[in-house]
Formats: sequence, structure tokens, C-alpha cells
Amino acid sequence: MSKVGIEISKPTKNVLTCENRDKIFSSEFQDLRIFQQGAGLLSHTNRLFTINHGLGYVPAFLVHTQTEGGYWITDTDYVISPHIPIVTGADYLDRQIIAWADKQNLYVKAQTNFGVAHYSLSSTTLAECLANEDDGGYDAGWWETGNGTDGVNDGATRFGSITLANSQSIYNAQLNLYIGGRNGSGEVKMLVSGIDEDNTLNFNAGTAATARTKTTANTASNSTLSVGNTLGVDVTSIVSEIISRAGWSSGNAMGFIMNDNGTTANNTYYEDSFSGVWGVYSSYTNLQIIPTFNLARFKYTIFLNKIN
Amino acid sequence: MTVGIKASKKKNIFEATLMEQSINSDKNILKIIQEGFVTRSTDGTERIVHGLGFTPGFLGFFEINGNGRWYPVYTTVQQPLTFNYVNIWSDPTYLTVEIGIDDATVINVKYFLLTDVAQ
Repeated sequence: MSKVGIEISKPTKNVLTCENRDKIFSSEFQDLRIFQQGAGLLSHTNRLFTINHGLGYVPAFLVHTQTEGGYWITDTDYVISPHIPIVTGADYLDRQIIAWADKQNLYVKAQTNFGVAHYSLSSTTLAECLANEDDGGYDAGWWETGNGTDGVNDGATRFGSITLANSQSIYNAQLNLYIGGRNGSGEVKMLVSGIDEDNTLNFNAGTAATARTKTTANTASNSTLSVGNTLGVDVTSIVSEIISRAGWSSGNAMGFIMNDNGTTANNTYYEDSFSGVWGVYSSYTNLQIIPTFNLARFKYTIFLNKIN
Repeated sequence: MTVGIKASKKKNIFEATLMEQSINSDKNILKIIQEGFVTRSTDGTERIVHGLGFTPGFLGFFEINGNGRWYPVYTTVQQPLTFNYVNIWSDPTYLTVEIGIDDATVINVKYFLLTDVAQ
């Protein structure tokens, strides 16, 4: 007898003479044998899953992922990891799910900044979405905050078409203010509040933006940024309060008031678009919101087969 | 009458569904006919002769700089390799492993060649 073992052929194939590819099973070959299977759910608060296999060697594996509810990502099918959404620009590098194994664990990880929605200023007519008030009075079309040559400055910004449902949960919201210019080089202290309205009007209509009712929630921000930087302020609780208003609807506009908060004289930040016309800097001032949703479901299979 | 072999997982074989069967001679099992490593510290392509006469399926995993983390090989820009890359393909004669080195010192690739047809 030339060899000893078990072989099973496909139906109609002679097990003694058929090709290896026509054998369902052959003890001559190792097959892909499943050691462990399971599933998990990646979320903003749980971006890395560590699955212990304890094999003591690196096993072969498969991970299939199904992204869920993400910005730009609507595919609900399971795909083999790594999952890299097909989008242009560098953002795609931050919107992927990768998997790897070592001798102890299988890892499944969602990269950072998955699902960030960017909202620009509500209009290219800056008088509708930027405002300032100082000793010289109220002026729509630019913002300044701090303690400047015309006394204390309070600024305001407005963002439109915010697609958040009433009272929906959000993971994070950040107001980014581009520092197009500044007075002095010292610390600028501001207190950022929301405008406590369902759908705040353009800043060149109705009540002056800086005089509108403010949210209970606010965020203090003290910084010494130079021109060309962007100040990021966490406004998560503020945005949550606005969208929890009974009259809030998806698609409405929301605004923020940046009050001076005790800055020493001759220190301000401002938007350098005094002409009131949308400029390149205006696009750097934006609102980033990450709604609370699950990033991806995944299913994994760890094989007994050894990689290394 | 159906002729063949079935084995089930802790269940009456006559009641077990396909999902509950370990072996069913109507359904193929992926079998590994050959496995091995390719290691390169410079750009290059290595061909592994299999001589099967048909194009076999395969699996591949890569490791960077011997750090103990093995990622599946896929055909696009290789993350987290960034500017390094690994491609694997097969034809009726060879399994080919192509490795591009940019900032890595060494890239290891483990391949599993299957007896089963890829196409």
C-alpha cells in the first residue's frame, strides 16, 4: 500500500484516481480548521477590540466588517477587512477598519475620526453668519472676541442645515474658529454659549446675534494662539441643549456667541474678512459634529492554521 | 438514494443542517497544499512554483519589521504599510508575491496555497 489515510471525493468522482481538487477531504492535506468565531460592535467609545485566542502562535484569520450609519458610508454589506471606504482625499485614511493578529490576540480597530460631519458657516454672505459687538456697537459680517481697541469684543457665528434629529445623542461637537488676525500676543479668554433658539435667524436680521438668549451650557476657552491657527472649542453640551429644544428640527440653523471672559487689554482674536465677503479663511471656521452611532459590526473567524 | 459521506457536530446526522455538518461530500473543504514564507528587505518579486496546472486559491498575511503583528494581504495601498505594499496572485504555474519596500526594513509574507481552484 503506497499510502494510508482517508480521502473523500466529490460525487461522481473516483476517489482512487481523481485530482486533489476533486477531493472533498484528504488526510494528506491540512484544511482550514476553525478554532474560534464571534462578533463584535465597534463604537466611538470602543474603537479597539482585543480578542484573546491563547494559541501561543499567530493564527490565520478572517474578519468581515459592516459599517453602520457613517458619514459617506452607506454600504450595509459585510466586507473583508481592512475596510477602506472609497472616497477621495486623505480622509479615507481615517475611515478604515483594520485587523491583525499576534500570538495572543486578534485585534479589530476602527481608525480615528470616523464619521465626522463638517458644517460650514450658514452663508457666503458673512453678514448673515458672523457678528461682533464692542463699544462701537453691533456689526454683522465679521467676528472678534477679547479686549480690543474698542473695548470688550463679543463675537458670534451661525451654521445652517444641521442634520441632527430632535434630541438625538451626539458623541462630540467642536466649534473651530480660524484666527485670521489678532491683537496682542497674550491670552484670550472667551466663554462660548449657544443661541438658545430653534432656528436662529441670520445675524443681519432680527435681534442682534450677541443679544440673543444664550444656552445654559457654555464652555470656557483660554488660549494664546497666533494668527493662522484654529481654535477648537468643545461645544458638545451646547449643541445637545439646542437640539433638545421642543422646536428643533433637522435642517435648522444654530449659532454660537463667544463672549469675552476677562481678557486683559489689547488681546483679541478675529476673523480677517472685514469686507464681509466669503474668503478662504471663512471655510476654516466650521462646526464638526460626530453623532453617536455604532461604527461597524464585525464577525471574525480564527483558524487553527498557523501563520507563524 | 443519495450516496456520500456526512459527519455532524454532536447532532443526529439525519437532522443536522449543512451548517451543523463538519463534512459533507457534496460540499468542498478548502485544503492547504503548500504554505511558506517570503521575506524581503528590498523591492522584488518572488515566484513559488506549484505546478498544479490550474489557478489555485490562496491566502496571505504580512508582517512589518518583525513586530509580531500579522495583517491580511489585500490588493490596494497597504495600510499600515502606507508606501510599502504587498501583492499576491496566482496562475496555473506560480504563486507570485510582489513586495515593495519604502520605509520598512523588512517585510515577511506568509502564504497558504489551496488545492482548490480560484477560477
